[in-house]
Amino acid sequence: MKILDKPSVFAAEINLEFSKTRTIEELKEVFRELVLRLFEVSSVNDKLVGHIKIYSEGKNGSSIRANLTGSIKNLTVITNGNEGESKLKVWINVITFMIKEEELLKCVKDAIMKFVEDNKGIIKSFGLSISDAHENHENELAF
Amino acid sequence: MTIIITMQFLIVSGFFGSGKTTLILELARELFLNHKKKLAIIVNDIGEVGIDDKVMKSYGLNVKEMFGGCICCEIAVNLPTTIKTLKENYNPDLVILEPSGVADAFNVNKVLDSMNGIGLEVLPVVTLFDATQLDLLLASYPFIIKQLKSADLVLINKIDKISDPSYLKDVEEEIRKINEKANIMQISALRKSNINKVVENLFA
Repeated sequence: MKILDKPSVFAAEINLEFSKTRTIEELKEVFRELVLRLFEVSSVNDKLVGHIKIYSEGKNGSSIRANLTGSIKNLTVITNGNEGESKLKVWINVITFMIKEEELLKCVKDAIMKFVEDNKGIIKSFGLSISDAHENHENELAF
Repeated sequence: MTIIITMQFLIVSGFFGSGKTTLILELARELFLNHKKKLAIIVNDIGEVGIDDKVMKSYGLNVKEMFGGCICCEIAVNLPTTIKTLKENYNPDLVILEPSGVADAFNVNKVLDSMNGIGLEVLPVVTLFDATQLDLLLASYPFIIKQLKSADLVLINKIDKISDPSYLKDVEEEIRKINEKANIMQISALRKSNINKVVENLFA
């Protein structure tokens, strides 16, 4: 398995609206599904060296934190609050040492768009930001 | 000149996904509730949307973000200013630094050493290791090796995901090969397992 010498980074801030209010349990499932879709496009052979982090806050005060690193068994989704939500602000950070940044950006963005469409949502705004200031570490490795 | 210690400083390093944010939330809860410490947290995320800082703020913690790449590259400029700002505006008993997943605590310590006279007591460096990622350790993945070498206390995290005690022993043995002096403990930050022992170890 090839490991890159520096991380490929995807970071985005999204305003998301669902057509109807989702309960906190439904939202938990929705974000679980989103993480799994992002894992699919940022991992190689079911392994992610890096992480997927999602944090979301709704207009009614509920928040959801979803993380995954390594393999699917490490997926965690934690909710805070009991109110259902239809309007959410979502922050997404995907870091991988397994695929090049250009490919990561395209695949993750496509996966998010498809996920929103499948879940009958609308993206009100999509702020993409790329940051890579970590240039001077070891060369490409293999293991 | 006598320097009066006014703030303790704790570095919680670890590779991406090792559980730094979850551990810091649990440490903060324990230190605030049972030790009455006034805390501030410095977070350095890679990527310009900070997630860890939002999560911590949602738990009511005082968080200062340092964005824009990796802390071990930019730390020399940003960290001293951030610490001074925190001290002047908030004056915490303890500052916890969560560097990015590729940062090396050795470089952070070099910067702290250069800040003579500010009255910082630097606590033992904590490095988290995700117990499920033994393959990265066996592959001598350089970021992880450096982080483990810099540690005074290695916390093998996510032990709740491991059912085989001999596997955890293997993880501990591999870590011991990299850093023979560090204390090593097994925890699950998510399940709040052994957090009080970590606090005892750090603040005894």
